[in-house]
Amino acid sequence: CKKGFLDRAATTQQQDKDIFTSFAMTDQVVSNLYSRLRGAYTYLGGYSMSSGTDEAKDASSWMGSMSFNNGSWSGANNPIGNTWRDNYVAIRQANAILEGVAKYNTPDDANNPGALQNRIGEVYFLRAYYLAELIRQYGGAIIVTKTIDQSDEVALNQPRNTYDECVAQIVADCDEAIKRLPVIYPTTQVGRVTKGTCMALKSRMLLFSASPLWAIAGKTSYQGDISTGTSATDPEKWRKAAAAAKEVIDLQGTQGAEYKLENTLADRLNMFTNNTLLSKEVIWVRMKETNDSYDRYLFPYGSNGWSGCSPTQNLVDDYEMANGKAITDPASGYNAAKPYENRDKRFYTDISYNGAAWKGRKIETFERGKDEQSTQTDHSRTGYSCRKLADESITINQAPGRDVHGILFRLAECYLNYAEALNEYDPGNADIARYINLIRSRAGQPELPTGLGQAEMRQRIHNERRIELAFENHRFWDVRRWKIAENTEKVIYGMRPIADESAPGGYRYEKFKVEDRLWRNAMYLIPINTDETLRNPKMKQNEGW
Amino acid sequence: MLMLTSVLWASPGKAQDMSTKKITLTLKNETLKNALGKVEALSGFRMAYPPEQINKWKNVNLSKATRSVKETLELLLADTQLNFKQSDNIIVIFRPAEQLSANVDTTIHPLPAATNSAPMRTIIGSVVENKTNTVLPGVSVQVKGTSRGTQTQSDGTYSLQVPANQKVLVFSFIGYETKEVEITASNQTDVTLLPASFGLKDVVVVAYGQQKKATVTGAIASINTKELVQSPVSNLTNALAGRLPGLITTQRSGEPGVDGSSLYIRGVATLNGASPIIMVDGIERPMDYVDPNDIETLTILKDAAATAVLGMRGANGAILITTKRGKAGPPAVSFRASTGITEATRLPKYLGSYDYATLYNEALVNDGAEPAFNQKQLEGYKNGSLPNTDYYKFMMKPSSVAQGNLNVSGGNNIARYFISAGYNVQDGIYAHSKENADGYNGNNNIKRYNLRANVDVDITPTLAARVDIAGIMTDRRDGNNSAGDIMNLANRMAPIYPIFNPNGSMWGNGTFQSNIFGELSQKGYRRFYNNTVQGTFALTRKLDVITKNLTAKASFSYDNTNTPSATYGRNYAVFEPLYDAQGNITSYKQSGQDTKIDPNGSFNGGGANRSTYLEAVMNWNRQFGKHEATGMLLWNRRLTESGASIPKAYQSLLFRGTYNYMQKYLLEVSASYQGSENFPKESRYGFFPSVSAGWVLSEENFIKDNVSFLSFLKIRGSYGEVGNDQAGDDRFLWFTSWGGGDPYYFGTNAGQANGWKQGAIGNPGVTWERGRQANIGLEARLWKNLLGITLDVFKQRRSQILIRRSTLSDVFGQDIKAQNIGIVDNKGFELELSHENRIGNVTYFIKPNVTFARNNIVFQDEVPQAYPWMKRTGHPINTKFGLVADGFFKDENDVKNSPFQNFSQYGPGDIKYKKLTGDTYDYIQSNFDETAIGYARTPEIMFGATLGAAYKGFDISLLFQGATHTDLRLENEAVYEFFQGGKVKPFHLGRWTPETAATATYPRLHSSTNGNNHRASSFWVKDASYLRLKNAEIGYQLPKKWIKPVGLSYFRIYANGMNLLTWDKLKDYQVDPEIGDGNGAMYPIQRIWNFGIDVRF
Repeated sequence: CKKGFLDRAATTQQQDKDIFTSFAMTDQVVSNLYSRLRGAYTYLGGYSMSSGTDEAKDASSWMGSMSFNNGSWSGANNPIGNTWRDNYVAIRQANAILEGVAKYNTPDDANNPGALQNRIGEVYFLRAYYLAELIRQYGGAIIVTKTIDQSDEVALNQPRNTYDECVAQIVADCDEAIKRLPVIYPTTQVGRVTKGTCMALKSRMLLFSASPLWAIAGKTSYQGDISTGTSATDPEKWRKAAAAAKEVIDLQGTQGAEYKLENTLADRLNMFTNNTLLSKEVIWVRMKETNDSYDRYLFPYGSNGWSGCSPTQNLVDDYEMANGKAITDPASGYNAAKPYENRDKRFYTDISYNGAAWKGRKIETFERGKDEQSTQTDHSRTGYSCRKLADESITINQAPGRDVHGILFRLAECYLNYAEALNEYDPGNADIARYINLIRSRAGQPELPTGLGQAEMRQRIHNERRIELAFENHRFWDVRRWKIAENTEKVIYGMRPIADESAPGGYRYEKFKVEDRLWRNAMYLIPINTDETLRNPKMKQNEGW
Repeated sequence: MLMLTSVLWASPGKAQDMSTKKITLTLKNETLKNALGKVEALSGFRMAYPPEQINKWKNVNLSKATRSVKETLELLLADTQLNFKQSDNIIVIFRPAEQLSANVDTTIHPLPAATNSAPMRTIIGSVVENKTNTVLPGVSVQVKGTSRGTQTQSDGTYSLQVPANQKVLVFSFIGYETKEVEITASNQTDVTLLPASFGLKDVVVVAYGQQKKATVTGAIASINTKELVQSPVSNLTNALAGRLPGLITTQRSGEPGVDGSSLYIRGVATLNGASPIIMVDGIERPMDYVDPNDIETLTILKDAAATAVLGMRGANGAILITTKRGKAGPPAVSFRASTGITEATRLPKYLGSYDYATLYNEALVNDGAEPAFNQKQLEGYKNGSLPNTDYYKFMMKPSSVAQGNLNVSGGNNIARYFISAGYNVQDGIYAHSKENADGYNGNNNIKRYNLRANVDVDITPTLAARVDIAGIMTDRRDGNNSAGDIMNLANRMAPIYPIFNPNGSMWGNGTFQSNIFGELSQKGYRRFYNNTVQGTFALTRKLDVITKNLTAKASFSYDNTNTPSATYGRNYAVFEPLYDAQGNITSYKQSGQDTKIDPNGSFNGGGANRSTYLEAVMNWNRQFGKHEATGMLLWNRRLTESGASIPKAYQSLLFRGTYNYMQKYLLEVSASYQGSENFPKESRYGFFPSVSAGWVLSEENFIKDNVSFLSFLKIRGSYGEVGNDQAGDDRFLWFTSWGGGDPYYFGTNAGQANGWKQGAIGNPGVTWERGRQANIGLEARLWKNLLGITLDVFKQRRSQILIRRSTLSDVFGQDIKAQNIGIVDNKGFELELSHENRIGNVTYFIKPNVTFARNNIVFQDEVPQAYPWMKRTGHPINTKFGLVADGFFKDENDVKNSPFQNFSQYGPGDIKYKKLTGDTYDYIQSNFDETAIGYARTPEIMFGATLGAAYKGFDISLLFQGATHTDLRLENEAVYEFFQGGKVKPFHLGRWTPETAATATYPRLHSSTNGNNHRASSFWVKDASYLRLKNAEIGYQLPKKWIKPVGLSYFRIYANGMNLLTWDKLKDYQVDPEIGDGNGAMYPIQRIWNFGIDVRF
């Protein structure tokens, strides 16, 4: 036999050394690490996480939210995806970059000195972010800060860290990142992690850690406190959370505060569609998370949409009247026969309802209407459609489409984080109402009444968060960390207009039950993939799964 | 005195005429002897002449011209006193005086031999096979009562010096009845031999060679053309079911051009690719579109003795196809043509609108919602004023198949040829597919064209060349959508939706943008081409100069396959009527757009595969008294390039030696040493040995003398190690490398930033999968042909199977390439019986066979399971797992008193599951309560039986075929009620309602997917055993006296059918029992009724 006939494999294939001795290649690996980010709007297997909460309901029975709603999720079926693995894949890649850069002494970008340090900072942050993704879903995870060898049985089979250990790791990585990152990148680099991004993650995770689900349990365990009813919290944790939120708010850019709320509701709406990458309210996005197929998902049936993420009556009822009072307040002036009059202005920008103006016509959710409320595929099951994240100027299946850059962090969240945390350890602090009112006044809502007690204020903050951050992938996590899901995830209602000439506006409104939802307290946490709990004998599954 | 030399005779038959046969010859200063030799070579005639007369003549000249043989000889012999005449294919040159003086022409006078004083004569002649007129080489010819003898040559001729006083010759050949022939006055004695008995006449094809069936020690089964051509299919793999013991087949689709069966020899015995290696004429090539008319034999190799020479390609067994070759003789022309009708064996049935609407209302109420259809609508569905669409009825129609083959074979003892042209067309069964403005046909269709020329040339008596060229072209068309899409649509669309609107437009809306008529006829079409050319050139040199019967052969093959495709696609609009308050249509809402086919089309270069193969082989065989031995040493090298990927390369050196004593004690040793580029240097080559032995007990006197009914009995056994190098598409498993990954985007204009990432971690030292196989076999024939038995029992273990680890924690965070860790056992048996007899004028045969193969996963690095019943290890591969359904909940109390089921809300009438976890968990969940609930989809037991009878010119044959130990699990549209807006089948009528609780056969209905009921459980697992009348053929052979006047030698008309009847247990589902697990979106398997003629000239 001639030597070499069987030597076909490309011995020239790239090895670690080829990557990390080049800035350009290393940069591409970092880009790929970004690409593993799960977008906020399509978090649930390409569709909205809102439909797994009392915010909304999907129209198609094959969407992942159905499993959340009917309780058929389990360690073998995480509707979000195999995120336990996905995040560890990302974490390994982050570790491989950090190790590779150190080992091969990667050169800096000759044309752009300092870029290498920026990239290292970004990788530190992304490692933290992927760990944060893990603990948001599963509770305490396993902290991995190096690439593990496949024969390293000890490292492969570690027990889970406590929730707070994970938070500490996230904070530490964010701090490493902050050292290496700028406050702002040039416009060609928008989308990269900045100092503010790191601070926003810290703010979010410290708030989570201070919340009832984790405040006490998280100190000693990977498992949240899933007992029924309220749980004690720890003022010190709230203090840290508040401080972290304030850091974002106070972050200075070249011209004063780096981040600013958009001025008007119209600007706010624009922030979600055309202006995402330029808005000063936006802290970080998932670039090109999706495109106009998301509009098709959100649009009502009559506009060739799939009526996905249809807002529930539960959410609609939580919008205040324009006078700042809840509809349950007899003084609010709410008229059940004319339910859509005089509501919080965000109701009109964020939700389509029967009779709402939409693309030059009116929404028709009545029987035989264009957007008929129905259980048929692609029909709104609740009688509403999500408007906040949809781009009304799009016509489905027609060019040009658009790119959707999903907002992962924005300033309003940090205001709400700050107010919430402050109210828990320093009730009555003037900053609480101040930051909530900033958000309210932008929406045209009156300021909060003065003299609210801590519990009343908590209720207002929770509701403000529900309304302001609706459909942005917050509710699912908030109802858990607040431990209120056992009350909110029960029955979902919709609204059916019935043609009735005697009724005002020609329609009588009938609230109806869309579905019962199945809740068990184990559902406060997402179960880890069952196979994984079996592979690693030291790792325990979450309680009740 | 006359002496004949050069006594090779062409086989008798229609001799050519020397006065019409033309040759072109020019000679300059040649001896007459050489001149005659040239005439011989050019004309194909053999010359017989007295050498001492011929040798005298030299300096023969002849001007260049084309003359008849007769004219040529007249010129050459003009100066001599010699005369000549033709006798069959021989031209005898003689001195006229001698002829006159002798009593008999060309009688031989005693040779003045020094060693022999007795007068001798030379007898020449040829030996042919009785039925086929095939020449038989290697036949022993002996003078009776003496040790004087010879063997026939490769063209079947012999010459033997016979003492004048001897009058009888004995012709014997293994597998044939020995014949004694009395020598007449003529010195030519031609003999035909009768096959000794059925089944043993053949040599069988083995890897890289042939062996005598009687002395084979490996497990082998084969069939020939006659059985293959009974199936009017375009894909050869569909003609094999039930015919070969040891072969397990499953056909999952009937779509023209994509309907090939999966073939497994002795089942699936590995976690990796389990497909056997397929070789056509000794070279690894696909068999799908080989024309069955071109095939001489199809053989499967089952045990290590038969496959060890295939090395790391052999562990899954092998299918060998040998194509036909020419035989010396006048051109034999064979023409076969048939045409038939094809239709679905079975189509799904769905309930009509009224039942649909009624059940849907019931389902909605069960789900706590309000009914969707009011009384008026129900009335409308009932009386037919509202739509009631039967999609299958609309979309299917019977269709046609046709095939034809013309082949010619013949030649002489210098060159022989087999040339063949075949055509096969199969049309799909979609209706309406031509109804579009552009005039194209969107129906599925495949046309297959086969051309083949197999040529053998004896360049000199010791050097032979062989050239085989085959072209296989297929041209497939579909309607620019997959069968799955169409079936899925037909399985999904509720009957309440019309196909057309009152104004004739296609109905549809934003949800249902696909319309069945549109899918069938308005999507445009696609063409898929497969252009395959295969060529082989080989030279064989006899090396008797070194040692007797030694030959060397070198061969080279080049195969090329291109599979381009072209798409002529378009879209169509659908319309939904909009009504006013009175229910009148006011306008239509359009969804989608009508588009035109792009005149420039869209073309895809498709796959491009090129394979080169080089082989050098030495063959040797020898008989020493009662000892017989053969040996083969072969080197080969194969390079396959597919598209632009790095070529795959193999090379191997292999050996096979056989020995037998009196054809009674048999021994065979074979081995190959093979390497693949797909493994790292240190573990690239493997050694694959096997040893096998046999004992023909029926040759022993104690059997012969005592057990008279036993005509033949052989036991044999083999053991060996074979390999399997398949590990999916993943290559270079020892490498970790970096490559492109998903990009990301930065900047306010979201510019793309390329992504790069590390690939799966490699494993140094990976190597091939080991297969150790043992086989014990028995072959017997009792009471002559009344009972034949072939039994094989086998046991195999596959180890080092290349699979990925499953127990590595996810915190590792990266994929790992396959490692040599899996272990699977496989064991089973095959039994074939045969019975052949004649009663009066009726001959008949029955030949049943059964195959059983059960594998067992010994190790697969399975995730440690929480409970033993969840373990997949210890079960056969692809065993079905799921919950155990335990009837339906009777009532609320039953629900309350049973363990909680954690899927979705449930109540009375929903499926109740068995909790297996005891007290550990208080509820049922898929994680811990799933256990083995059914057999894998590939059957463990496969059986078949051919039955046939002939009476005068009539013949009939039947093939029954079936399988068992296989289960089917359907889901989604195929069986779930109202699946994602879908519909219902008749068996849903048996649903649970409070009134029918005691007799219900189906759970309570739900209006959409139900997490509790619609999941993997034993409720959905059905026994998919079946028995089919796979083939039936009836034929009539016209009497010779009718056809002879029109110049035909054979004329048979026949009618045959395929998949004519099926018995199974899947009536509820109305699916074919070979359908795959899943959603049932399968192009139906076809039933074919076919009529044809078979003519030979």
